[in-house]
This record gives sequence, structure tokens and C-alpha cells, in this order.
Amino acid sequence: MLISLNKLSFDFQQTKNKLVMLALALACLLSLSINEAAAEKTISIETARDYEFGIWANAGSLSSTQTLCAVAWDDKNGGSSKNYSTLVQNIMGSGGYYLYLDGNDSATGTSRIQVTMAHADSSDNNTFETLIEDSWESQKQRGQAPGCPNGPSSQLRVDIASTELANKLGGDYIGYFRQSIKEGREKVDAQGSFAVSITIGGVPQVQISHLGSIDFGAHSGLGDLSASESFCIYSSAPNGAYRLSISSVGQDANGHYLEDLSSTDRIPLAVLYANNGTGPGTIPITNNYVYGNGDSINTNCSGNDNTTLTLRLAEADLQAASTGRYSGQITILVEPE
Amino acid sequence: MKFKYTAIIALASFVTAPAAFAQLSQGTLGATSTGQIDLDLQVLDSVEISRLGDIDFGTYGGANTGDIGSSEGFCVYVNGGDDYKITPTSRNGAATDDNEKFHLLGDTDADEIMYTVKFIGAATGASAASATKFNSASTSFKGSRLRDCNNADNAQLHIDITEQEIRDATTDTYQDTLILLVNPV
Repeated sequence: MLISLNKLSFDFQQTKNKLVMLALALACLLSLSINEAAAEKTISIETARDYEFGIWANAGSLSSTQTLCAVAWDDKNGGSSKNYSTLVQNIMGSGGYYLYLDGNDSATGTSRIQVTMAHADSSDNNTFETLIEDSWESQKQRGQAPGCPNGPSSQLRVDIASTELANKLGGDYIGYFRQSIKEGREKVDAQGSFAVSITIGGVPQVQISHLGSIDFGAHSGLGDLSASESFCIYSSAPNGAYRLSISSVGQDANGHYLEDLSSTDRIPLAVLYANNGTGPGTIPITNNYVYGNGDSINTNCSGNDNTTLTLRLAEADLQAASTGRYSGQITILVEPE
Repeated sequence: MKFKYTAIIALASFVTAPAAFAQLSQGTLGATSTGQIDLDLQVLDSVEISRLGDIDFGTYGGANTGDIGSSEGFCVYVNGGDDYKITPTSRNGAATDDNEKFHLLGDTDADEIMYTVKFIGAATGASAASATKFNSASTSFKGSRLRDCNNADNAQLHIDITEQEIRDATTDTYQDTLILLVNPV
């Protein structure tokens, strides 16, 4: 039997076309199957509104909770709710939930506020679990049907401890975060991020530190005695402006004194102020204010001193004092200007 | 007969214990901030005798009669105006035959003239103060709070020599230097 080469080639081409059409048909069937499966489940989380704590009143911890709509639903077989868990990420940094002074995400220490976040769902056991940044919560929550027919029930709480706030520099703090939920292996991010913000120091803040004690030693009859104490003053007021006043245990209208521990004897004490950390002080302080400029950046003055008080005891007053031990305590009050 | 005085400033000090400061109080960050500085000072005993002068009795001859005496005012400062005592001694030392008495010694001969020492302090104000023995502490007197007693005297030394002591003495010039040691009480 003779076989034409042309016919053989034609039959092969027809067979090839049939195989391609079969493959296309199978591909269409498989695609339809995936779409139908995806359409059975719905998962979403509403974007939280911003948490605006306003101006901190220098006392008390802060807390704010928003209740959001979290959908985790399976339409199959008439529909049923699914369990979900949530995650909140710091989208300005990592390692924790932080608010940054002036939104500078490189801020640390006294220029950064740590907040805590906790999540619960009132559709479930309503127990708040403290979240770890960029980690899924461990407990499973009961999701709702699309539209949250039972009302929003996913609660995201933000807490700020007063002890955390007390040590921070004055100014505006803000952080940005994004919430996600997952059901099974399927993760969905909220549509947008939310901000947490607070302002520290509605009034300027000040701090005095690096204070030490002064031991004049022993006076054996001759000469004045003088000693200086340098310390740090921080003020968040413009240019670090502050005013300083002093009071003492033995104070009266005429000034300050050292007092004998065992009698009524006392020795007049002159207090002199300097707006620098090297001294000596030159501006007398009795019952008046003195004005200066402290460190407006670092509450610790970067480890340096910027103010000095010089205390002087005159020879004549020392000679007029009875033998004994004299002590005193100078209380320094710093207020922003 | 001449007296010279040596003033001794006695400074009595004692070992001081380290200052026991209270807990330091640093300020906290806030709308105001308060800190405290503790202060400590030890005032030691401090005394000074000043404004002393020499006493010259002049000459005593056949035309002179009676006991002689002379006073010299001076200032004793004690810190706080506290009390003090004076212990007198002299360059010549105590009298040979009575070690509680003072004596002037002749320049050329070994003769002596006995004399008595009395102190009158601000606290007593009594001119009739009893004699103070050689190297014995006086009664307590009140010191001045001011080193120079405000340019005044607050104590007085009185020297008495009996006529008989002078009559017994060989012709000569007699001298002693009185040393006054002041101690705070």
C-alpha cells in the first residue's frame, strides 16, 4: 500500500490541532474551578480611624479603643463564620509600636514613645490579647458575615503608660500602623494605615539634674569659705528659657543660712548664680528669680552641666559661729519661661 | 621692772566625721522641676588673744612706798563668743621656793621679786578676781565673737608686787615675760 507523504503530514497536523483544543478546554475548566472556590470565602478588615490622644496633661495613662468590622465568612452550604487572627505592623520602623517625635522615625530614647496594642472581638470571648509588632495574635477570633450584620466587633485598643510619657521630650509624636487579618492561609491587609498621635508638654517642660552635695569641710578660724555646684537644666521652652529660684530650711526675709544641728546658731549663706556650667556664680539669689537658658534638646544636657550655684560663707560670720556642725539644704525650683 | 607678754593662740581641733548627707534629690521632668543640694560645714574651736602691751613699773627707790600694781587690757576672741580659760606661765618659770608663784629676775644678780597675777574677764567683771597660780587655768571668761573685740578690750591682767618684795630685792633691773595660753572651754 502506497502512502502519500502529503496525506501523512495532513493527518499529523489535524491530530496536533485536536490536542491543542483539548488542552485549552481543560485549562478553562480548571480556571473556573479556582474562581468558584475563591468566591465562597470573604475576609476583610476595616481600616482603623486615627487614634488622636491630644495633649497629655502630664499625668495619667492613656487608652483608646476602636471597634471595627472584621469579616471572615464562608458562603458554602448556606454560609458560616470563620476564625481569624490579626496582626498590626509598625510601618515606620520595627521591633515595637512606637510614636516618633515630629514623625522622625530615627528618633529613639526620650524622643520616642512606646505604645501597646491589644485586640479582642466581642463576637468571641472578648478577651484582649496584647499584640507583638509584626506577629499574629495567638487567639482565634470569630469573624462575621460581609457587612458585619451584628455590628462591628473587632476591637483594637491602644494604650500609653504614664511612666512612658513622663520621661519624654515635649513636642508632637506620631506613628503609622497597618492592620491585617488572616483566615487559614489567606491574609488580607486593611485598605489603609492608621496613625496614633499625641502631644507632650502642652506647657513647656523642665528638668534639673546632676545635683550633688556640698561639704564645706572644717573651718578653723581664718578665711571665707566658698563652694560651687554645677548641674544641668533642661527646658523645652523656646531657647531653653527658664527661671530659677531657691529656698532653704533656714531661710528668712534676709536670706539663707546654715544652721547648727544642736543649737539655734546659724551662719549667713550667700548664694550666687551663673548661667553656665563652669561658674563661679556672680548673680545673688535671695528671694528673687534669676533667668537663664538651659538645654532645649537633651534632658540630660548630654552629660554636661550648664548652670552653677556658688555658695559663700564670710569669714566674720564663720568666726562669730560657735563650734559645731552646721548643715543646710538648698531647694532649687526651675520653671519654664 | 618690765613685763613682756607672749600671746599664744590655741587652736583646738578634733577629727571630724565624714559628712552624712541625706539622699540626693534630683528633679523630674515636668511643668516645674525641683532639686536639692545638701550642705555641711564643721566649725572648729578658734581663739585668739590680742591687744597686749608691756608693763613698765618704772623705778622704785627710797622715796617710794607701798605696794605697786599695774593693769593691762587685752582682747580674747573665741568663735561664737564662747567661754575660755587662761593659763599663765612665764619665761622665768615658777619661783624657786614656791612653784605656784611668778617672779621677776634681776639682770645682774640672782635676786628675785615675787609677783601675783590676776585676770578680770568680761564674764566676771570683778576687779577683785583671785590670783591665778603659775601654770594653772583661770576661771572661765566669756570671749568676744569678734577677733579684735571691735577695737576694745574684754579682759584685763593685773600684776601686783608687795612693797616688802621690793625692799628685799637688790638694786637691779628685774624682768619677766608672761606667757598667756588661751583655751576654749
